[in-house]
Amino acid sequence: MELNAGQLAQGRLEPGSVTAPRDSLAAGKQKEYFTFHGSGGEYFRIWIVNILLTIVTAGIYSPWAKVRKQRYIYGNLQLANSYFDYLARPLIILRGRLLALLLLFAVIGSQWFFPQLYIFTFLIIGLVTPWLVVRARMFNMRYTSYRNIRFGFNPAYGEAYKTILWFGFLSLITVGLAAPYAHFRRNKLVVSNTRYGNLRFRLGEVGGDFYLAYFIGFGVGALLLAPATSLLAQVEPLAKGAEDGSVIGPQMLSLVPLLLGFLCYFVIAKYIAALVLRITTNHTSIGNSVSGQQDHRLGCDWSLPMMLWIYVTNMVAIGLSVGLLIPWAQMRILKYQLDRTWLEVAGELDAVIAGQPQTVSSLGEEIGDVFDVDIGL
Amino acid sequence: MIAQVNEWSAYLYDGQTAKRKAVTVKLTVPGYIVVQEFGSLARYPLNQVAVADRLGSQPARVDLPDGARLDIPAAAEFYAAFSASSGRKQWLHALESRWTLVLLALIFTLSLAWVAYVWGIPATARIVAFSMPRDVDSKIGAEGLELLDQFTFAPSELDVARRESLRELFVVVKDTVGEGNDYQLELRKGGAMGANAVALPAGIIILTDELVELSMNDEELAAVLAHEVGHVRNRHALRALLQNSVVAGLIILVTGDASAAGSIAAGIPTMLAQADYSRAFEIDADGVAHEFLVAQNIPLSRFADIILRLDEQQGAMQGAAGLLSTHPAAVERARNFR
Repeated sequence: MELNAGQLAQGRLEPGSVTAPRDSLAAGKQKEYFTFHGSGGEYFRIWIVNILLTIVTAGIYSPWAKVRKQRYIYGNLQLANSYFDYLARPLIILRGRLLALLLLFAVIGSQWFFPQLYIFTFLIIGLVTPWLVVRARMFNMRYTSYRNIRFGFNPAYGEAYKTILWFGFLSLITVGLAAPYAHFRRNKLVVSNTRYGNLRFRLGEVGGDFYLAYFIGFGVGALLLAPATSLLAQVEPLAKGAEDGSVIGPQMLSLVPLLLGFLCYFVIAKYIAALVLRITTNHTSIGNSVSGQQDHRLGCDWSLPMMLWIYVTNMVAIGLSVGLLIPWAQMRILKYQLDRTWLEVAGELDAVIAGQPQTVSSLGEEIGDVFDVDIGL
Repeated sequence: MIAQVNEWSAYLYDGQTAKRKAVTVKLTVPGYIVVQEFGSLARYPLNQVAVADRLGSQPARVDLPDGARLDIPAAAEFYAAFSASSGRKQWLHALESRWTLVLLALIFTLSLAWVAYVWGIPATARIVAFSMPRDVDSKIGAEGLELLDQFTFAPSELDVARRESLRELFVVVKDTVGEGNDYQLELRKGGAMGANAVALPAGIIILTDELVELSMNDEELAAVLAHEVGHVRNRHALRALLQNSVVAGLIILVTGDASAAGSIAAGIPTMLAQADYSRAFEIDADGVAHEFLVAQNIPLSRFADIILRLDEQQGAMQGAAGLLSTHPAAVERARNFR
C-alpha cells in the first residue's frame, strides 16, 4: 500500500539533502523515532477473517474490513509512547461505497450504450477528480488521530484544480519534462494542506530535488536495461532452437522480454516513488512559527537499495504464495520505512491543541475514498 | 499484576491538548468505569462509553462521553473484565487469535470462492443475462462489425452463386437451432484473422472466405455456423461480460489494498479466469453444434473434422498468444463428436 501522508509526510530535515539526512540536531530539539509494531502473522489472521466475512456477506462487510485493517496499521504505529488511531465509521464508508458503485455503473453504462459520448464522460471524470482528491484527503485525515487530537485537511479546491489539471496538462505538453515539478506540486498540495490539531504541515521548496530524483531513477533504470537487453540477445537464439523441439516452448521464451520490461518499469517506478517520498518526508515541517525554526520536523533515513530489495522480494513472495503473503509483505515494507522515520520535536508535543472542528458535509469524501483517488506521495 | 483486582494503569488524552496523563482505571460492579487521576476521580456508566473492539495486541481504547480517551495497555485483562461486566464478547478477536480457526477460515474461504467461481457466478450471470431484453446484447455489439471491417476484414471474394448457397445453408441452421431469434450472416475476407467464424452479440455471424476454402463440404460449414448461432442464442457475450466483471470486482475487493505487487497478484488470476470462462462458453456452443448435427442427421464427425483441420492450420502460425488461447484443445473438443 502507499504510505499515508498522515503517517509519514509530517516532518522534515535540513533542505537540500537528497541522499543522506543530517544527523545533528538543532538546539532544543529531541529526536523521537516512530515504532511500528505490526506483525505479518498477526495481520495475516486479521486479513483472512476480513476476506472470509467479505465473501460471506457478498461484499457488504468490506467497509468493516477496511476499518479493521486501517485500525491495525494506525494502532500499531507508536510515537513518543503514544499510538495513532483510525476512527472512521464503517457505515459511512458503506454509504460512500454504494454511491460510488452507482456512479461507476452510470459511467460503465454510458460507455456501453452511448460509446460516442466517451469524450464527454472522460471530461466529466477529469473535472471531478481534483474535487474527489480533496474530499478523500479530508475524509482520511479527519479520521486519523494521535493522542486524541485529530488531523485535518484544508478544503483547498482551487489549489487542487490548478495542481492536478494545469500541471498535469503542462507535463503532458512538455512530453514529461514538467512531470517532476508537477509531482512536487501534488505532494505540496497534500502535505501543506494537512493539519494536526492547531499545527500546520509545510513542505519545503524542493522541486529541484524531485528533478534529481527522476534523473537518478532513470539512470538506475538505464543501468538495469543494459544487462536486460544483453540477456535478450541470448534468449533469441534459444527461442529459435526451441522450435526444433527442445524442452522450453517458444511461447514461454517470448514472454521473457515482456517480464523483463515489466521488471525494469517496476524498478524505475518504485525507485522514483521511494526517493520522492524520502525527499518529501525529509522536508516536511509541522508547526506555526513564522521562520520555521521552532517547528517540529520529520526525517527518515531509508536505504533505497534496501527498499528496492524489499519491493522485489515482496513481489516474488506474493506471486509464489498465490497472494497469501500479501499481509506479510505489507507489514514488512511498513515496518522498514516507519522504524527508520523520526520526528524532531521542538519543545513539547504536549503543547499541541485541538483545531477547530471541521463542519463539512460528508458527501463526496467517501466517494473519493472509494474511487481511490487519494494521491499517494 | 494480580488478576483479581479490576484495576489497571492507563493513559488519558483529554481531546483538548496532546498531553498524556497517567491514570488508574477501574471497573466497578454495577457497570461503571472509574478513572482516577491524583486526587480527582471521575465515574462513567459503561453504557455511555465506547470501548473499541479488541484488535491484535493493541492497548484497549475507551472513548469517554466528555471526549477524552483512555489507552489501557493491559488489553487482555481489561477486555476479560469488560466482557464479564457488559456481556459484550470480543468474538472477532477470538477468531483472529487462533491459528486453527484462521486456517479453517482460510479453507472455508477458498472452498467458497471455488464454488462461487465454478457455479455461483456463471449461474447468476445466466439468470441475469436471460432476464435482460435482447436489445442489451445488440447494443454491446453495435459497433463491432464496423470496427472489424475497418481494421481486419475485406469484402468477400466468393462468387455470387457460392454466396447465395451459403445463405441458404445459414437459413437451415438458424431454423434448426436458432430458437427464433434474429440472425444475419456476413461474408468477409478474413485477412489477418484467416480462417475463422465470429459471432457478434447482436446476432451477426461472420464467416471468412478462408474458412469456406478450408472446409471439405457444406455440412462442415453448417456445423461451424451452428456453433456460432449457439454463442448468440445462449447470450455468451453478455454473460462473459457479467462474469468477468464480477470476478475482477471480487479480486480487487480482496487484494485491493495491495499496491503494485498486488496489482499483478490481481491481474493474472483475472486473466486466467476470463480464459477459463471463455473455454466453458466454447464447449457450450459446441453443444448447439451437436444439437444441429443430430437434428439434421449429419454425421457428428463433420464438426470434429473441421475444427481439427482449423487447429492444425492455426497451430502453425500461433505464437505466444497460444498460451492464453480461449479455444480448448481442439482434440479434446473433437472427442465429443465421435
